[in-house]
Amino acid sequence: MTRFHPAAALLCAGALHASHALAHAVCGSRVFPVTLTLDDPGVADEVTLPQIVYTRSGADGGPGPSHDTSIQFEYDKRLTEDIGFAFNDDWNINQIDHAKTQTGWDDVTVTAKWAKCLSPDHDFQFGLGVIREFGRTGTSHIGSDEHGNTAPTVYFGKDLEEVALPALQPVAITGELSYAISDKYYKSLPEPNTGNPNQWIGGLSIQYSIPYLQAQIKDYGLPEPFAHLIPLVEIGWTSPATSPGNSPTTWTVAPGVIYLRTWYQVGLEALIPANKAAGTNVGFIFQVHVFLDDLYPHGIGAPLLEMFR
Amino acid sequence: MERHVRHTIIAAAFLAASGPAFAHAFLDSALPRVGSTIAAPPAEVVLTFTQGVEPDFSRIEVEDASGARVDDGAPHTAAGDPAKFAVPLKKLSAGTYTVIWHVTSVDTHKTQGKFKFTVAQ
Repeated sequence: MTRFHPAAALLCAGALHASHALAHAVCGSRVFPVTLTLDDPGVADEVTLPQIVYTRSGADGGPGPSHDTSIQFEYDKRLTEDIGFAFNDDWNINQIDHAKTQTGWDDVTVTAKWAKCLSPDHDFQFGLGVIREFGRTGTSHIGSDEHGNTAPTVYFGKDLEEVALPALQPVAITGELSYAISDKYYKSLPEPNTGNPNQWIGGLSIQYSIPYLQAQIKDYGLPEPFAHLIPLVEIGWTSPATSPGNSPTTWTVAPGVIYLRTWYQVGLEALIPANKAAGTNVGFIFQVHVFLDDLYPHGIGAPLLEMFR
Repeated sequence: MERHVRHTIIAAAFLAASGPAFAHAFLDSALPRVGSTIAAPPAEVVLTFTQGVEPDFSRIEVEDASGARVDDGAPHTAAGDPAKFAVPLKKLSAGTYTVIWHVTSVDTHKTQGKFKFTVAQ
């Protein structure tokens, strides 16, 4: 799955994932915010305007050095309270030293997802989805894939409210695991655009919610913006699932913070390669996300089937 | 270009027609404060939410350390301020109490939570 310039693709492993569906979820006393490099376990009506990913590559032996910027957009629309779709695409700007800057669209991705708060009393959220990347819908010269893939995916979110130590109760963990089945996977080491390996793609976030701390454990009277911050670490992982797999296993760690309000959130994270295959340079990811279901609950933010009742 | 402008106008009109609101009612503050220790027993618990709640579909329960209910009467919103939701209390003795709330916002979205406070006397 080469969605950015090939030299940037390794470092961007986590960021690639970021272009998948993102939706916040309210479950019991917990708000699972929109995570930046992996999907969260909810469905919602919302929009990303935009998400910007910057990575620098080439120092690891690839062409370059290059500066790769991806401006990502997403629109999430629910069909019912628990079923929704997400539409993603992103505009890439690949600047390679001493070469012409390449720009273009990545492949379009659509996600169908069911997600539900299975236990409001225990803040446990669960979801199942299918992510479909449509090959040949992007710009080939920026490395957009000719071959799409389909990824059945499982999602979960759970906090630590049952833990005896109150200071740990604001902690929550969310995760997802996908198996991306390529439309065309190669049987021998490939030439460019002859296929892709099937891949395992996973992500995990560990979050500490200051809003939860203030509303459930102890109100410290923290001023803005601290009262609405969620520091978090996201971990992204990709690994080829079929052989021959010339795509290496990559690990990316993304520490950062989300500022969460009732109808929007702003997030900023560093993208740190955690193994050599993921690159050697640190990038960043910045996101502005608007919750249409909270802003316009009876209009454009309502589930589609409810809008026409 | 004209097509883009037309679509933008239609989208803006649709958003404007639906009118902004805030669907989920999250706890903004509480009296007694969340996790606080207070000297004198309070006469009521007052919860302030980020938006108005429907009192008929919302509730506040207050329990002592043994799980016995110490709220005394129906919870109600403050006159002119549906975001303030309160419940009277029986006379409390020293101890730790748990406030458990479930609210439905005026936009019908449900939220819930709980917290403790301690009476020191």
